[in-house]
Amino acid sequence: MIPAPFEYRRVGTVDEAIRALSDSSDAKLLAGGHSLLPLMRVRLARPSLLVDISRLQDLKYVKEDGDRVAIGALTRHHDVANSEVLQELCPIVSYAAGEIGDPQVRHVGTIGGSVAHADPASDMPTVLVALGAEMEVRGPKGVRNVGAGDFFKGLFEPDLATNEVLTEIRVPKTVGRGWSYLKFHRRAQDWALVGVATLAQNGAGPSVALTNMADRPVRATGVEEELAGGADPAAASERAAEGTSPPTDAFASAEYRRAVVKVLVRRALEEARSR
Amino acid sequence: MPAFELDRTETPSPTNPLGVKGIGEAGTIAAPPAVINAIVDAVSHLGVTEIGKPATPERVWKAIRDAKGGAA
Repeated sequence: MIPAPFEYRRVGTVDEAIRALSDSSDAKLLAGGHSLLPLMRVRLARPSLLVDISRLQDLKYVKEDGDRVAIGALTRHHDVANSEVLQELCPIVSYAAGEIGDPQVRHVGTIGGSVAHADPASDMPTVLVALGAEMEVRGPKGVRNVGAGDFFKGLFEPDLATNEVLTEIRVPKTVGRGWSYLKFHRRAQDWALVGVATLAQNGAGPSVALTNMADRPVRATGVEEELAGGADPAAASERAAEGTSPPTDAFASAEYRRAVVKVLVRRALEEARSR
Repeated sequence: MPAFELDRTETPSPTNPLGVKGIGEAGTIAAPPAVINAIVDAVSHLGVTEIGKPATPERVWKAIRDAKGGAA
């Protein structure tokens, strides 16, 4: 399929990108293009202007930042997966990045693109919600920071105005804390039918977040309550589907997802305990 | 090339009601039922007698659940 006509502008700085976005009411940023371009080809997305930020080298980095790790929004999944800093200091992020799509996708798609797309079936948003990550957003009025729990507002609906740019993602260092990201999918490169991210918290029960169980990544609050109260993984995971609203699509029914998520949560909690 | 005569012969298969036989890649025909039968066999102790194709995880799960009378 051929996309609807659009204008194309390549920019060299974030400020230029913000100005370009402000010029048009339905402009879209182009980073890796691995979510946007397929939607344009089936004409589910018809932006009149594409602002290409893929060459902004200064948004491609992974670096320590006090008690956190800062990831530039244009860092490709492959580079997130292979970052020694993340592998050592926040391994759930590098592991999950290596589970996204296939090698071709990971070499072109970016963490910022995946996050800003806010697809509830994506892996990284769920991991960021479980971590309590922070998003740095820049717009005409300056910089603001949004917690992952507030950033994902709904289906493909991030907390981003049309002229704002997601520039950085900050995750806490999690050295010594058990973690797991598991996804259940038909084939290795597919989106998760259901996914689970869990991370042990200092002095509290583990956090548990779910992929593709609602219109956004959601916390499994029932499970978290049980774990905080001392329940074991098998007992706690019984409440995994509580409060969720999973989709029914060509690959799985909502009913099946509600059954699978209990098994997946139990396995993830057991794996996290063993790490 | 010598002259030859074309003719045909019909030998209905006795193994099915239509008398039909597989032709063309006939070797592949047995594989899908063999796989499905293997899956049914693996869960037959739970009371499962039939699983549709393709045997997706959800179909297998439902077959087991239905065989147990709805208790997954």
